[in-house]
Amino acid sequence: MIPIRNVVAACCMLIAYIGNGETIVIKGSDTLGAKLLPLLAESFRASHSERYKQLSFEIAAEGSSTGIASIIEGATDIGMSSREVAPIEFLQAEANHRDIRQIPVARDCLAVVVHPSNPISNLTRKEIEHLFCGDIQNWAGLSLKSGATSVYVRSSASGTYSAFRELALSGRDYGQNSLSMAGNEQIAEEIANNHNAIGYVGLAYANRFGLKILSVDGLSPNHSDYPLTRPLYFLIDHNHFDNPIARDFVNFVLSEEGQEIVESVYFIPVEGQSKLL
Amino acid sequence: MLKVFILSLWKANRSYFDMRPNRDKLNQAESPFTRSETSHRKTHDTKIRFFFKSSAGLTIAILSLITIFLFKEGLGFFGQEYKDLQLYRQSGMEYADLLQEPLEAQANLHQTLIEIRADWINYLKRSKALSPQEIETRLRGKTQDSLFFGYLEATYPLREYVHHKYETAKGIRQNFFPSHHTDVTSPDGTDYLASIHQLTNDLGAYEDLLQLWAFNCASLLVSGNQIEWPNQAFAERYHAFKEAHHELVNDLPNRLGQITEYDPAKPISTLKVFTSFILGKTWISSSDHKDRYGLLPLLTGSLLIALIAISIAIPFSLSAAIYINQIAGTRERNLLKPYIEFISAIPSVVIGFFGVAVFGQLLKTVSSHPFLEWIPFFPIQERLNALTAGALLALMAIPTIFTLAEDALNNVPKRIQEASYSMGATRLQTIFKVVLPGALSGVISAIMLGFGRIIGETMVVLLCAGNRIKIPDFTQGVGVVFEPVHTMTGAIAQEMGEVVQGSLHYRALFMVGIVLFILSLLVNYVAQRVLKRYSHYTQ
Repeated sequence: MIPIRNVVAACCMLIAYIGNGETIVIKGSDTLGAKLLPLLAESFRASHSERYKQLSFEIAAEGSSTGIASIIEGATDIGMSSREVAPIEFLQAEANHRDIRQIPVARDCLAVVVHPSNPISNLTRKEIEHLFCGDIQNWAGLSLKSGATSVYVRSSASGTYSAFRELALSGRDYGQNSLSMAGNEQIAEEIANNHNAIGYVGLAYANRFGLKILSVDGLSPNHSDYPLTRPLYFLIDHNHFDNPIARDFVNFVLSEEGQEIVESVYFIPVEGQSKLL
Repeated sequence: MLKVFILSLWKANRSYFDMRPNRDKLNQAESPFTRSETSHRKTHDTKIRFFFKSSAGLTIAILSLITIFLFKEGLGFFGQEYKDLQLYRQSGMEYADLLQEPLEAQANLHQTLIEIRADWINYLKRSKALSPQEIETRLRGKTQDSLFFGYLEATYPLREYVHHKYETAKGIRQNFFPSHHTDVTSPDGTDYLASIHQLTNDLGAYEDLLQLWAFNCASLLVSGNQIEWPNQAFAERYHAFKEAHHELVNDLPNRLGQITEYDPAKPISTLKVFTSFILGKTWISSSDHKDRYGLLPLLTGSLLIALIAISIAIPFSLSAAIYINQIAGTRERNLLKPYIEFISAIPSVVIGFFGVAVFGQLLKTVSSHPFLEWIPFFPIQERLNALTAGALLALMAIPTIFTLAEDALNNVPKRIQEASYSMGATRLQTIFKVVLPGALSGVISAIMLGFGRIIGETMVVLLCAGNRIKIPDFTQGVGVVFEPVHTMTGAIAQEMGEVVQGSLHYRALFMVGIVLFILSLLVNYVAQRVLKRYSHYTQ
């Protein structure tokens, strides 16, 4: 049997470790959390190393709806969302005495991507709606390529799922034949391996894997009038925003340094909102 | 209430334990030890017995708590779904959906038309080996384009109209039912009635649009008669398509009749609440229009994958069990048996990762090999499909079935096998006619337990099955195994993180959990009954 004093000593060390370390919990969108947030966290830790000695970030990026649900239940310091908070969710938050504020930290383009061998290079909004809602289930309905379309979308927890539905499908439900993948990376990988595939990813992920980015109504994602852009939000609970590290982190993200990192991962920086808190 | 239930369980189990003979009395009568020594041993025995009893009781109590919690959270679904259906009807969303239905029927017809076009392209590519430019000249002409593309474009005015109705219904829901899902009372202000009236009173415009659509389609189909199809088969398919279209047009008055019957104040039938879950064919959560929680796509996906997995696992595991138990020598047995049982030590998430990264791609590459082109449904299009998940689940089930089947084969008494050999039977005859029938109950029980394990597996199906929430298309025959499917376990795992406690989606997931629970219970129960009923030797 382990001597009791060793057990007590281990417990004390554990408590000491937990007591001294500072943590910040961030939950929500995979679009923000998979690439951008780790970079921001590293940069924040590097620039604030004198003030916060043992800073640790707990990042869980499982989809915007998980972030919103966590903020409503008070399980996180900062929530990340790639869609607007719905009115019903604001009501649920009010019922829990939480005042949700949405802070835009970046803008994202949703790129519609296909396999490089696909001859199509442009889609109108109507055609995108037909493809993703299951009105057209074969490429022969649009072009001279034949083959059943494989439509890759995000899971319903994702903010990208809702944002794309609002922007491109005018609120209609996705077709039953769409495959729901866990994250941007998975969609990009599957499309790269399937000749008849189509899907949407954030612009940051489209540039890898050599996927073919389609223009929408003749506009490419680099164009300033590209229709499928949406703001990415940090969500905070204004009534319970006590963690000073979280406050500093949000200010850091909105500052010039933070927005430079935003630009480096192919998101679009937001303007004129530094030092919001 | 809860305490009473637990106490009654505890009392029932206590009486069961006390049915064993009271050893203390026996010891007291015959023991050569002194009274103080026996009483010391008696209290020691009693303490140990009490410890075992309380451990068993605690386990049972925890199990019952889990079961009660599961059912409590899940069965609240029906009450909330009733309210949701009420909201759906009263806000006018149901009306907009009724308007949408002819469009959906038309979309199915459009699908057949496009498939004709796709097969035409394939035919020109394969049998005539034409270049893309030649295909283009053949396929893109004024008549062809007006038929194939015009058939969808003819519905655009209708779609506009229906979209407008959806927006109106959303507005009604926002204005008169702001805290929807939580408290739906039937509003009877004049504003509400006026809005409903505005939504439903211009059915005449809808009828006009339908007439226009039917007229436009008729002229399209007439121009389609001038197309020169490459062979008779295509002409026949086009003819069948025209027949189906005429059927749809003739059915329109029927549908219009159903639409005029819409009444926002009509109460929801309780049967509809139950069938919307148990027989529902779509599962759409976080929808703008109406969340639908239908069990069938998930249930059929789970069962399809389980069927594939069990049909791969049974031959492999039974052959391995028979070989190891009957045919292999001692050295081989000592080498192979632990090796097969080691497979069960691999974590399921590692197997799932292996499936995504390696196995799915391997299957796809093998199927795209020109050597195997003759196999129907090859090349596989999506690398995440039911077959990938089923094959990996078979890998996970094989050690379970193998271990239990091998034990069952071992339990067949040696004397029966020796009697068979002494009668002159060969080894194979003995195995198939004597040993296997003797061990049959254990083997079947092993298969059922493997099946239970497969049904409950989550990580592998979440990563590898493709996650398409749709009832698999069984009309394809064997090709259905190459379709992506979604499962009950995968849906719960994927969506549990996003639900707010107590919401309809939350309870729907618990209902799926209840179905899984009942399914596993059933499988285990059948396994136990089979084991008891058909075991001749182990009684």
